[in-house]
Amino acid sequence: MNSRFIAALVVVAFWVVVALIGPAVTSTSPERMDFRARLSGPTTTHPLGTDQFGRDVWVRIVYGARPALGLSLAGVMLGGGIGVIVAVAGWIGGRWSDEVVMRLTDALMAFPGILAALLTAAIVGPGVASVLSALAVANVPAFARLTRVELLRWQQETFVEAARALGMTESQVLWRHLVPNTAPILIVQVATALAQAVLIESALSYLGLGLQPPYPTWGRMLREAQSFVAMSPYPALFPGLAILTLVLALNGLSDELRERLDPRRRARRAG
Amino acid sequence: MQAYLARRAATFFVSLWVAVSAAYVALAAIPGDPAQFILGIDASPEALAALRAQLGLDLSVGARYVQWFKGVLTGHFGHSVAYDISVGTLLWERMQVTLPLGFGALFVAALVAVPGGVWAAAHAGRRQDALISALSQVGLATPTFWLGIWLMALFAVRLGWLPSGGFVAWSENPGQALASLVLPALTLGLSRAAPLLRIVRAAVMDVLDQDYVRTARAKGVPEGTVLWRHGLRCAIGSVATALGLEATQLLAGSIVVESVFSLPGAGSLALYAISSRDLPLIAGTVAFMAAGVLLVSLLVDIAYAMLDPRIRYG
Repeated sequence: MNSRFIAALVVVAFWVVVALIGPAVTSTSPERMDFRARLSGPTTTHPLGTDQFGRDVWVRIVYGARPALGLSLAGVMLGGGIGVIVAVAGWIGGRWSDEVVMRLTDALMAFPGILAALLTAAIVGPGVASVLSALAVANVPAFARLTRVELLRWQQETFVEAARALGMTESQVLWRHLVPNTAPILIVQVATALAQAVLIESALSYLGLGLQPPYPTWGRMLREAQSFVAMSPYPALFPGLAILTLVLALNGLSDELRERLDPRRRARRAG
Repeated sequence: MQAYLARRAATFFVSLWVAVSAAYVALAAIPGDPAQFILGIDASPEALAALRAQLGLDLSVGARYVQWFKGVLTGHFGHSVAYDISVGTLLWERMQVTLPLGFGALFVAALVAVPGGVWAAAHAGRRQDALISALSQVGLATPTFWLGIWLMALFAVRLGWLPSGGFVAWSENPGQALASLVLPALTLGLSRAAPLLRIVRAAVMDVLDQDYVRTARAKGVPEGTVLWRHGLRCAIGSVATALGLEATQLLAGSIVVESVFSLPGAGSLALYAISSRDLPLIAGTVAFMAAGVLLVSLLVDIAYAMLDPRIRYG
């Protein structure tokens, strides 16, 4: 294992632990206002300083880790799940349905996720649904195409031909051999998509289309801090660093996973 | 080639239909009375009746859909309730901010990514390459709006060189209009430079591996000439495609950057439409943006097919 992979793993693990148990172990509420310490720099009471209402920046970052990771993961799984199902359904249906599915994913690929978020926000109001719809739209095409390419590739392998020769039905071949073999590449894609999803989620929160107040999100913390940056840089610095470190680590992790799990890369390295 | 163009055009129309229908579905999916939704519970019956007539709610859902789709195809994106003018006119005004912002950002991105990518490719595997690679990793992980906040804090608030936000119309003061777009274009361009740089680096490295480049080097052609004449010129195809594909990203990015710098562009119009519950405006804006992105990607594909002699389409 190289040092870059370990560093990425440690940073991702840190944020996962923060998101999972952080809110339970922090002593103060993210809404608690300390009016005597508004826009203060880092102190022993407020390790990362406070915002314009005297709310603790670190505590708010800890709470914000949940939507950053949780919503992003949910959105990727939703979009990825739909993408895989759609690709497999197209595959089962034969050439025509496969063609239709691919043309539709082409169409979806050109449709920016942020527009889906705008439309959802127009119908049900901004919040979890608009974030999830944006992430789903952003992820369905990539997962659908990847699954299809993998199905095509594995279909040509000798062990699949052998399975057919032994009398396995098409459906048995699909579920026992083809689908399980696509798993490694899809795991890599989840890691890659997750890094993008964290950025999309934070941008939507910044625009006011993400999780609504009072629950803190990293994007909204930056939106609120923007007007006070001349008075205190800390509320505009640390949430951004949180996003940066998490995305950097997720990208590092996905690069390394790709090297290990993608059979093409593995073959190239071995060869 | 003709078969390819026909297929590509068919994909364009299917995509356009899906995107425009999605925008319409959003409009039609509001449970209950859309007029009540827009005007709120305190609206008078007269106002509700007028809006219902304006939105064509007396027609069947199917008839409304056909009407809407025909309108979009002929450039009529509906009528804004909040502004009481056509969505097309509004968008045309707002594009005077969003289009220059997009082109400016593309220019900044290319200005950083092309020399950076060529330089990294020329020093592949060495310390310079590692430095560029590390910087592009950081660039990929930096949220656009965060970069904007800090550029604004430095160049507008601290140094006072450029306006911190807002926009003066081109007709009023072109110099000031341009100045108010510098920081937003820099923000959007820098945030798109990192992915583009990686593409340039990979494309140039591919070319530098070719036999004819080795021959040129063996003949004693200076390294600079090899790099710029052979490396970049041959890699320009994939770089141009990548720039074209940036349209989707630039659109998403421009919505965010317009919000950071309070610019009255198409993106901020869409955000305003949501807060004012202006359904025709939101559906029209989304349809217009999706159509724009699709058109750019169609043009890029056609240009690529025509320009690159190595590509043969059956």
